[in-house]
Amino acid sequence: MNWNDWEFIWRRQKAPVGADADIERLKEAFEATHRMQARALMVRDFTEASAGVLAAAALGFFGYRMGRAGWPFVLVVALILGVAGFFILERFRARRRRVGPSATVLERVEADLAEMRRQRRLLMSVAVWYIAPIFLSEIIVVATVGARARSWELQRDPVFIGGMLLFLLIVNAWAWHINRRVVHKRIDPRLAELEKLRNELLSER
Amino acid sequence: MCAHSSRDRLFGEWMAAHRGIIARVASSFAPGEADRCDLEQEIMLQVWGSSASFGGQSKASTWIYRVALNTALMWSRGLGRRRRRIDPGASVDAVPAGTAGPAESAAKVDLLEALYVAIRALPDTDRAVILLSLDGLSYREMAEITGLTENHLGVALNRARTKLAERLKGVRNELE
Repeated sequence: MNWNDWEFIWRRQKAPVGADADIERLKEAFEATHRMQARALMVRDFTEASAGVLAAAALGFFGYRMGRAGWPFVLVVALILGVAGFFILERFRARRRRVGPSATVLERVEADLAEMRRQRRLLMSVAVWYIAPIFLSEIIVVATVGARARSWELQRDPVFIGGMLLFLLIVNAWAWHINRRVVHKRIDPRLAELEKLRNELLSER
Repeated sequence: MCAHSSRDRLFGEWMAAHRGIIARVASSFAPGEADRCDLEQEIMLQVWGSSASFGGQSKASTWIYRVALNTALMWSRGLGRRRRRIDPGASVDAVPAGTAGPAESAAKVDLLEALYVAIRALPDTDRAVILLSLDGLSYREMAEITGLTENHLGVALNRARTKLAERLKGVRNELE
């Protein structure tokens, strides 16, 4: 059989009668999905933004209560708000770059690839934009509280401070490790898949 | 209200004229009956969702092909992650419902079934261009859908046809 025979067989097939195109049901499903996605996005954005704002407000209040000695808390608040702001900014950037459902196949693959690369870049540099500012703010809190404590108080005990810093270091190193793991286990395979798809599309052979 | 009804009308017209595109794309990407229905519903959902932004700059069929192929490619990547299932070969479930009219011979159905199985075994991109080619689209229309240049399409189509021919070699003999 040659190509023309297969084309003939293909074009002789009747219009299938699979799933129904029930407009009312589709509308309902579309609106339900749309609502669900919008709600999920709003909850995520709100959680991310409010967690930072709440932490900054609590620490700001704590610093304010300490009086003049609490001035380093201004830095802590700025660092936390900076991280929260970066989160939100990145979300908006990602949403702006999204392509519509009717983009060409190549445009869609390129857009997915760009999004995956952006996520990889963010996770690989998480130490710079997330872990370092948070770790720095934690050190500032421990140091400020320790400096203000009286000599017999636990907060001033070098063993306590050393233990606390070690604990924070371990927690932040764990966070860094988890992000690396996500890159290698999830992002890299998807990236490879998309790159393969793109290379197949643009292959000259 | 008015915008909604005109959208309903547009979608109804699209389904009346191009329902086959959705079914053929779904059957070329989804291996079983349940998956095929699932993908068809997903494509229709995406077509319905995109109909609001259809401005008439391109042909409705081009628009539907784009949405359908993008959805199918995304679905296929997701399926790969969810459950990397190997098509167990020709099965009646794998053929779109209604492809075999009463007047059609069993051999024709088997050949169409074999063709679908072979198409599904191709890499995603080859599958997409073969599908467009079998549906009789011109290079220009295929370029509008895929975003590739006509030169690239020529290369991709040749490659896909060669792979498909390899897979279909001897099918006739097996069926006889």
